[in-house]
Amino acid sequence: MHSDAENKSGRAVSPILEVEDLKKRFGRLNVLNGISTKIAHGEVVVMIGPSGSGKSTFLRCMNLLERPTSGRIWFGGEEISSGGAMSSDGSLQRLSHARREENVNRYRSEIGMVFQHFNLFPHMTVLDNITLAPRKVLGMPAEEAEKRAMELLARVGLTDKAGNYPSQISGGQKQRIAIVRSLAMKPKVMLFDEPTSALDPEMVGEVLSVMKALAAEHMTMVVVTHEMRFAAEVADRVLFLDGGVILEEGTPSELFNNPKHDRTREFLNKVGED
Amino acid sequence: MIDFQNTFIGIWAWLAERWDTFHTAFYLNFIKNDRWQYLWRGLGVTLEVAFFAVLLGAVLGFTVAIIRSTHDKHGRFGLLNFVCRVYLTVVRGTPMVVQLLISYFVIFASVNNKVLVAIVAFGVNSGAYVAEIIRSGISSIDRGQMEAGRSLGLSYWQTLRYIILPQAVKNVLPALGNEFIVLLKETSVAGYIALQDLTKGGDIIRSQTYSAFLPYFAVAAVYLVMVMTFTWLLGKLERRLQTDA
Repeated sequence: MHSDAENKSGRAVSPILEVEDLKKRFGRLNVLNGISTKIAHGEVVVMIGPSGSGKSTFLRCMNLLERPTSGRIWFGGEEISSGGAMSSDGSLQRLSHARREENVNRYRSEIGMVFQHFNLFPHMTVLDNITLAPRKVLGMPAEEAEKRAMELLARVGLTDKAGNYPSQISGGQKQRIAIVRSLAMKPKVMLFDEPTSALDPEMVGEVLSVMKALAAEHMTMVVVTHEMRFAAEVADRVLFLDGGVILEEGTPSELFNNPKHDRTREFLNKVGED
Repeated sequence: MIDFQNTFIGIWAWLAERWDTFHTAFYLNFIKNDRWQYLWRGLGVTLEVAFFAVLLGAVLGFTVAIIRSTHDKHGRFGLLNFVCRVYLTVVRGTPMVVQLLISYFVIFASVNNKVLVAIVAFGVNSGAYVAEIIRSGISSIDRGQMEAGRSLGLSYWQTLRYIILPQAVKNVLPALGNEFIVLLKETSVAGYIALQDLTKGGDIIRSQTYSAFLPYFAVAAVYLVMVMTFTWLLGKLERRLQTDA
């Protein structure tokens, strides 16, 4: 069996995220065809697969940016894909739209998301980008939020950019700021949706090293990426998605050196060419 | 040979005569019986109507734009959205003068305050145009902005308030400014309900002095100065917002 409840040290840990038979349909297009997996506390999971395999959609379902067509997602033991409408015995209670939204917002505030195109807020300074959510969602006083933002900026070496606008900094810097913006909410899980795909090659390294540092601090991470070296180096587990299902999964060495499926082998050969 | 001296005297005499005519006409149209007060008071009414109509139009416009955008995105507010669409269709599909007449003689027939009726009529009219401008601004914002806001735990309304609307308004500022200019000039039809605005002021002077040239050109000049001032201020604001991002 795969090591879904163990991390690299082999220590058993409880899952923080659990996905059960997740399906997503866009009109007549079936993008996810039943995905189940458990993600442990502190685990780093990397998702790879050809484009259109559903990796990004799966990631976006995890923080409900896309509402699953069917299936369940548990976060820290609480079912969240129903907006908190499911009680512990599995029965669904009636909840108003507003209450479900409230529950989803609270859940999202505990899950960080980093986007391919950064999605920084262009009308705000770097500092305001980082402090907005802590102030408005967590009700953190401005001084505290700013102090925390500056500490996080120091960790990624960008304190001198605090007063700049996003248009004034490079792509690699933008993505590091975007990571900091998510971290400012003290998330329990970080989701990365192709975080280096929109970057110039020479800027990929600076973003990956921030992510490596996060992994070293035992942040739970789910990463969609084409950076196989990063996956091999950092991942506890690699999922290969194809046709909206997890076709194969395992440790990086299992999956990269000894793929079981032809599709996996084919994909790895293609991406290994460069 | 040209007789310079006589030519000069001829021109001078002509100019002096023109000046005399102008002076007399100016005195007749503006100074005599304090007629300038028609323009001065009219200007006050025009500014009062335009200012409060802009406020009302902005409030209505934002509200309708947000309802429409939310409906388009989430399918919520079905009934409200329908009401908004009827509002937009009717207001944009009928002439301002007709709306003003209906407001004054039908809907608010029992209201005696003409200024108030005009403010409501012009505000409701402007709101429809502002709504479509703001809505186009909202839909011009990349959807990643909403997703980024929501992924941080901000609610839909918070994301709209702090992230989407500031960018949307900035993008449509020229169109909004234009709408306000149109509104300011459109208030000139307020005379239809016998409201003594700037245009009506000039009209009253003409009806007393039987001269049209000076009163109407004076009215036109005042509108022009107001619009140019506003355009200049708007340009300054746009440039200031530009340097911000």
